Amino acid sequence: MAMESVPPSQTLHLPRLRRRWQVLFLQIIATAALMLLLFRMTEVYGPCDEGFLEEGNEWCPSYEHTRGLMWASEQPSFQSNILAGSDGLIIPRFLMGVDSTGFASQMVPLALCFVLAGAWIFYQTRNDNFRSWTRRGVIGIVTLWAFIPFLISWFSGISSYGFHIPFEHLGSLFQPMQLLVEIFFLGVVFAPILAGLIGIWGLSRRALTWSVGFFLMVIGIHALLTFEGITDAVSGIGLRPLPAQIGEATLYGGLISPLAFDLLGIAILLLLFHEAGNAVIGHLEYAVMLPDATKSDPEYVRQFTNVINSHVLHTIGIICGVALTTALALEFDGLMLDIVAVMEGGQWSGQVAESLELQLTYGKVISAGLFLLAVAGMRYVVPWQRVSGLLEAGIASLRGSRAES
Amino acid sequence: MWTRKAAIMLTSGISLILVGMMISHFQLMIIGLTFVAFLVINGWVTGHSDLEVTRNISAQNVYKGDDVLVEVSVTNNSYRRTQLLEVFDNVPHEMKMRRGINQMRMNLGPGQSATMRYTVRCPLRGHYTIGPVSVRHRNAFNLFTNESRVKDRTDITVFPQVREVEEALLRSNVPKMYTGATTLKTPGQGMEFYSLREYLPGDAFRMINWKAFARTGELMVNEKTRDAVTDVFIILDTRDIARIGTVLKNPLEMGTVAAASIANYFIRRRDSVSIVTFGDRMNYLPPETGDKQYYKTLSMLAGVEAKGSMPLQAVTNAMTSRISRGSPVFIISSLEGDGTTLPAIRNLAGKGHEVIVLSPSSIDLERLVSRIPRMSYEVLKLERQNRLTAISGYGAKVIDWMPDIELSQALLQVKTV
Repeated sequence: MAMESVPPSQTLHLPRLRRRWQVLFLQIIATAALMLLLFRMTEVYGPCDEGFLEEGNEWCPSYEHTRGLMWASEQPSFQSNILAGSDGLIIPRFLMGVDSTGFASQMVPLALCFVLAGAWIFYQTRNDNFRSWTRRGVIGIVTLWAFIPFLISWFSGISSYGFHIPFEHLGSLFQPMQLLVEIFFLGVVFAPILAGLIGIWGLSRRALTWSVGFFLMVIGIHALLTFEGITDAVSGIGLRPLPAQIGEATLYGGLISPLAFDLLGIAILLLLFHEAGNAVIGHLEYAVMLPDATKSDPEYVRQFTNVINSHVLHTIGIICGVALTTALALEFDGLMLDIVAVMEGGQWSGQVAESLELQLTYGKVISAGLFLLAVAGMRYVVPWQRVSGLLEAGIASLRGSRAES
Repeated sequence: MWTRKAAIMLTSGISLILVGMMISHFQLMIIGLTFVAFLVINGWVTGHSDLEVTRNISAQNVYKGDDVLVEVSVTNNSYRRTQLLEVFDNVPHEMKMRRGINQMRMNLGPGQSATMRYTVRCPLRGHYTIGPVSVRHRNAFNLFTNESRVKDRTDITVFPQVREVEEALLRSNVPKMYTGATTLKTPGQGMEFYSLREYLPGDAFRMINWKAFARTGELMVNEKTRDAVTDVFIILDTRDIARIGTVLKNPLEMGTVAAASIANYFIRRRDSVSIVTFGDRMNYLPPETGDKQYYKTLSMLAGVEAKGSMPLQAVTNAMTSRISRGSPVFIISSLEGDGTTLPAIRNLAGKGHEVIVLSPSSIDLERLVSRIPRMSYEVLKLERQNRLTAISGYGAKVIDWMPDIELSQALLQVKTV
């Protein structure tokens, strides 16, 4: 029995799948989430403490790259690097955004990240011969860069002072280290971006997870270094801590406070980036696993389309739902107080509202936890899937009857 | 059921919330709450398994090496979407996938259905079962799964291959009486002339030989031989020793092909065929003719397994009373590991049966899987030759069947003393 086939443009072969709108949509969503995550993170975790800067300090361990690079460019050892420009940096300033602030300082490095991600993906798709020669080339260049200045400096010293053991010239062997230092400062901010782009477009789960892990690590380090117990013990870190109170809900009709909105935005973007990136990899893995003939089978193509369409809808719907639910959970304590105010009167609820306990994390967490518990339980009460299924069946039968007529 | 990802997410979420509370850091707390909220919201979206699964196959009885086309249809009979569904049709590992694949990911709306088609090849004879169908509902973000099985099974019987042996049997030294209905050299109702005798009252007028009457002046009638269908007995060795060799090439596999081919030949010629297999126990299929007997023979051969160590003489002693006088007996055995083969065959031959021994060479089959030192190999071969010579000394026709020789070629090698 000859198997029916779909047109070549619709088969489940990997090159064609990667051009499908659903796959591109998820990848673009993941990329956009990654970019927004970078901007949001640098807004929240990039600035140093104002007092720290006013004391004359130039650098703090924040999520920002220009201060570190400026500090590096002023180091005497960096000035003597043969490849360093007049400003003491090997990588041109405009490529690193050193002379800019905010979004402007991130544009060019971001573009570089895209280029590097593309180059890495290209490198990964080449054969072993190409890759081994590339590795050899890089190692050779670094070795020459270390040894040639050393040899030049030694031989010129020999010509000037006679033969001697080159202990004083050993410093030039470490000139490539300066590039590493510059890359380190750039990498603190842009390494997760590069890894994220490689994960999304190079289809690497490991890179995606690494990127998410890096962001969480940055947040975790910020949390530790701004903890009161740590800052009391170790003064002069200079990170700007998050406000102690989450603030009043003034955005979107009293749904969420500005601080909570920023922080929730970071969490949602992390989730969106990770899930959208992984979704593409999961679906493409399944398609690649299919035998060649099955990739043209109309039934498999149809079901794959169903699955991926459903995933796109789920991604949008569930992420929006999570954002809304978390926002409501964060303000649930206020809702409970309003209810209590209605039932018990203003005095009691006012006293409670004034209590710092409920404004701080403990109260928020307990009330948010109660809210999420209630939402989880409502699943057994609200038959929303049956309703949506009936709607879907109704729409399908209407389409069917319209097609017949 | 929660997946590892969901468990990690919940644990991470709670940990981040607790750490955030301890150090009063809202970001950690909010990330933790977001993870938990993600699990909660995903919990709302669950699949439903009111599925109807049907399977159709192209043939339930096939020969070894044939392909079977399988179609599995899955229909969502509920009012809810199934969400991500992974359907896997369990296929015996002995069967090889030729085309298609026995699994599919689908997402069925209310009333929708999907069909997966695949073709399997059955390289080994036997009784197999395709199914049940394993169904896994998976959450879109791989947080929750629910596995179930749909108990829809389909039995497939893979018969041993049947070779064409007619020409070989005709050309070989096997006696030519096996040509359809066989005469038994006794007078009776038949087609062939037996003798002339005097007319007796009651004989039919059409039996009168008028030429003899004209010559002798006495009424003489033609007496015919009694036509009767011959009972062909096939004794197949299924002892444990018959598994020597590879999975596809061993005395049992070769024997089943030979038994099926010989049975097919004789049944087509309207002879009665009886099969006896002996291994851990004796299985006897009484002699019958026709397609039904052919099917029973193939089914029996499909299910034989190499086990046990019953001696041949026990079989022949038990079957002697059932074997018709003069019936040919085919013994398909490697003749290894059984000291009763010689007396058994001697007894059969002594009772007037035509005995044909078709013996797959287990020594050469063992060489396919393990290295036998040359000296040992030569000694074993010599022993085997002596045994076969002794058997043919009792009047049996012996065929030393090498692994690389086709059955039809082997049947041409009948040796007699």
